[in-house]
Amino acid sequence: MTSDFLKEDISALMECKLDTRKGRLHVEIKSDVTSSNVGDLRKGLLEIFKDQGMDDWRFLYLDMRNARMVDSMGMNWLFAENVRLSDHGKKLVVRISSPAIHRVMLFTGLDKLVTLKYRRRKQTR
Amino acid sequence: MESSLQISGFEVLSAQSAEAARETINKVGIGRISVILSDYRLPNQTGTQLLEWVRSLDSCLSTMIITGQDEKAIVEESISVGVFQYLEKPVTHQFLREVVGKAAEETSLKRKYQADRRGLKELENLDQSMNDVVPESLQDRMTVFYRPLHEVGGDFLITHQYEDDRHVVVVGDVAGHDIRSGFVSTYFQGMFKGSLESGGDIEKAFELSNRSLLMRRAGVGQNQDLISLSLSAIDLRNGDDSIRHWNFGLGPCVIVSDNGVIELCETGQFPLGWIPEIETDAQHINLESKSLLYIFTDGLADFADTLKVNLFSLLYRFLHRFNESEDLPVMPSDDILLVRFLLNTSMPLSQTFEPILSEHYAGTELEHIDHLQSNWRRSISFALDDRLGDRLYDLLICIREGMINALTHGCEKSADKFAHLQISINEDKDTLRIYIDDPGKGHEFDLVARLERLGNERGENLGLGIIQHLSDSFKVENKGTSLVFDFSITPDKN
Repeated sequence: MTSDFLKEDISALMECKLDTRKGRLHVEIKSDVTSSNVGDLRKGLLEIFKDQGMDDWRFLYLDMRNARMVDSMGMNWLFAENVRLSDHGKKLVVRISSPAIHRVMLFTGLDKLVTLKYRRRKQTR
Repeated sequence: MESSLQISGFEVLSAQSAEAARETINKVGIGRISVILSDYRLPNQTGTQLLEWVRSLDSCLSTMIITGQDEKAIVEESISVGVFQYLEKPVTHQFLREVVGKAAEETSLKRKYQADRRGLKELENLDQSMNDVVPESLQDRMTVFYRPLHEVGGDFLITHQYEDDRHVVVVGDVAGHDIRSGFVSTYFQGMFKGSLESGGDIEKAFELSNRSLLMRRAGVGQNQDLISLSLSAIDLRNGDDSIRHWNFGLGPCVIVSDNGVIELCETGQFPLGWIPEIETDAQHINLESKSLLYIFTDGLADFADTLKVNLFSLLYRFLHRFNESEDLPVMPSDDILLVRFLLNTSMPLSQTFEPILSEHYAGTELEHIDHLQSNWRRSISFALDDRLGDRLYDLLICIREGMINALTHGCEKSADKFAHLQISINEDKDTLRIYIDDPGKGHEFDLVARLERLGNERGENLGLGIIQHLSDSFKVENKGTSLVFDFSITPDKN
């Protein structure tokens, strides 16, 4: 069963779909992940967890394929979310397409803590 | 019809056939003829064929065709060959006089306009040749980009070589950017050139120009603008370790060091023509480790603002890859003249660092970091097109991290503390060099060594660690208040 989640204040930043059959919560981030928006992303994700509950999924699929860049604050947020998810027995899967983001994630070692799915795509924005 | 026109005061030449008309026109000279009237029906050919030939000789000359009534096809044919008017028989004396008079007036106006355009085109060629031609003695050192707003511009360039391998370069900008400014600039260009060629000092030329402008000011009416002259000049002798520099009202000239650091020279004084007493003592610019000097008129900065790119991005584009038909989504609003001068003659131009961005930001700009980032992206892309490929985002991440660090720690987010971002390019080394300076106190520890020890651990230095990792080389200077990092320009092919 899949349910749609749309809330006006965060829908510009992220959207989610819950796939209870596979136990996956898909969250698509629509922008870069930087110091300018990590506060809103953190709040948005908490709203999603509140709305969807924590019982019907085991994997959070964070789709960052729209993002062209991530900065150190963005990375800190990802590390923090991974710790929170681990505490709840959940796994984080991050999808990216930007080579720049890929390089930052490899450097910071996030790839060793989460499942990183990288398919390179030319940046057009 | 002939006598009717003669009575009205016209001088009339007549011919009985198209062939005879051609002979008469050739004999008299088409420039002396104001109007040609022809019957449509002529022996051997039509009147429109004759008038087509006439218009091929002189497109300004008014022509008229005379037809019988209701000959619509002839009228349409006449219009298609550009006939001024067709006349249906019978034609009254008064109507003929009026219509031929108007046609003669039209010919006169068109010829005057054409002569004016031709004159302006000649002026444009002359203006261009006076302002963008580099003398042979400076061919390997000096590059000029000149783009006047109209046929002639208010900006001008003067180069002069003294016998002892000494050169003077003057970049001038007369207030305004219309044809009048063009003429005034030519006047001062001539005066400077004449003064220098007769052995006079450049200081004397400044004083003479100032006096001349002030004298003119006395006679200026209330509705006329004052004319002033902004200029920047250098005087250098090969082998000297410094150059002399003057600036009267122009933006600061820019010096780039061998390692890519961009410095602005002093802005100097008021434009000439504003105040009676001017200071003609030169500033001395030390040439040690300096490779390039740029002088440009105000039009460059204005146009960069219009395009919403950094001034140096536009400057680089103009000097390297300018294609007028492709590169100008909007038109400049002023004349643009820029000069690049190689100061270090032992270094080929391709080995120098050329600026593509330089900006100072107050600490309070931190809250607009996304806006700043989009400006960097636009300027870098404007200067380099797609040469960086995906690495553009590596570069943007690094600049963002460096600037957040500088604005937060060095400037303490304060409105009166400024960080300086510079980007320059070295074509031979295939390298972009980024400098980020802040006014902070720095720190005593070795930041690079600390970053290496930290490895990939997260922490407060993660941003700097990312710069160190993504760039091709990274170092800190001045106790960590200056970050210097290089990026290879050629895109990663993997």
